[in-house]
Amino acid sequence: MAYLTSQNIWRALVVQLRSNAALKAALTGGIHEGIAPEKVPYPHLVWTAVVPGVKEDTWNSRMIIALADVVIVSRSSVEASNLDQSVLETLDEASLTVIGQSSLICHRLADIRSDEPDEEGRKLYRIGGSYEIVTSQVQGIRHNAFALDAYLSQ
Amino acid sequence: MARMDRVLPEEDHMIEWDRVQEQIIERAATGALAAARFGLSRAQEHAPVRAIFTGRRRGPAYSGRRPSQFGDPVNRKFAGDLPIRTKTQMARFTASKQRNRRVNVEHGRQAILGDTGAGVTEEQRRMARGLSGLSESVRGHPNSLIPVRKKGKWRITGDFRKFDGGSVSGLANVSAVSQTRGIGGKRTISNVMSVNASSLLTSAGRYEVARAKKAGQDTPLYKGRIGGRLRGELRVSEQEKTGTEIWYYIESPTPYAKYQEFGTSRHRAQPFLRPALYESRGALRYEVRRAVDKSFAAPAVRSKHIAQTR
Repeated sequence: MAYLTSQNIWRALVVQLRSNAALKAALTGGIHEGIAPEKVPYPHLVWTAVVPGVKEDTWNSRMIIALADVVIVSRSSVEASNLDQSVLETLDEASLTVIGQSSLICHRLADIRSDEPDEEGRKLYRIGGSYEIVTSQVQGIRHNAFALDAYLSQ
Repeated sequence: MARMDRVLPEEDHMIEWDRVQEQIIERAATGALAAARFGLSRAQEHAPVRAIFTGRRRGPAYSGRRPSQFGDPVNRKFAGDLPIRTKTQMARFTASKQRNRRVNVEHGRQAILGDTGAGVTEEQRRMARGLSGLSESVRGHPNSLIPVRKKGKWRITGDFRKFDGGSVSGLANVSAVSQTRGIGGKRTISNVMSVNASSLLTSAGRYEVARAKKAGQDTPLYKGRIGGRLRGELRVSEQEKTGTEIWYYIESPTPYAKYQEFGTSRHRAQPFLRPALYESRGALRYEVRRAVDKSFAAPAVRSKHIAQTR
């Protein structure tokens, strides 16, 4: 049985975000990866895979640590903050279902907050946070042909 | 066997461990610094740099490479793989073969492509030497590449033929190009603007060069270079002690670094610091552990310890 990559983690992240009906309804611009296309209405959510999955192997298991930025882009800072809080409630300490992963911890590491002018010169707020996702894949004993014999000379 | 409490009096024992503790902290800081440097190298690897040259993802890396290494597509291009498409081109090529040269008329330019690398004949070398030396302005493709070993370094040199309305009007020496160690080492404007490099630029590179030419060579660019500022300014901070903690920071003082790291509404994020941080976690553990292990094996502490336990 081969180990799985971090792709399922991103899938689980987006599934979890979409599972919050209120959040989904509030995000009129939808959910986008990396960058939203032009003329997408505000507010919308943009998530970025920052660390695509650092693998740490231990005995009989593999831990994958991934980091993603989830940011709300809105013209109103209040609206962006409210939606960010909704994202936090959805993702922080959430029990996600990731294919092939035996356990998953998702928690918020840091806040992201910035503003910038848009094409019309109006302020655009980007409020969100960085979410660290730690998974573990426990494997069965794969190398059972390994044997150790000891001989004691007299 | 002697008991430890008899051999090591209480006071000496305490002094010994103070020294050991100091040494451990010192060594751990050294290990942390090594890990920070590793993280810095990872961040430099992740930092986005504009690709202004073809054939390389992150700009040229030809410094120190011998021009005879023609495995690279850029060098193959130099080596004379320019196509002959028309009958006229073929006729010129056939005619030029008698002179042991190859004529290429692509893009309306006429160039002589001599052999390269180890296959350069003495006749070609003589020809190249004889044709050079005119003070015409240099334009066009490089028409020959002859590796010349000067002062222990391999350099690229060659001749460029000026094309003027269908006839060759002059040749120019391009010894200046050879001074730039190929096109590699530095992405300085003089290198990039040289005729040698112009044929290697990507479309983005041509745009950057045109912009640099328009704005002048000094003002808009970082230390006279095109690209590489974000990567070039990354650094490891000085040691910072807070109580029992030792901190090293990997800093990016470039003003637009935050926009690269976190993105904007119009620019996709290209994180380079945080991936480096995560990738260097293992290195931090390893380096600190190794450094602390060394502190136990340090002669000063060990010899005293042995002397006291005897």
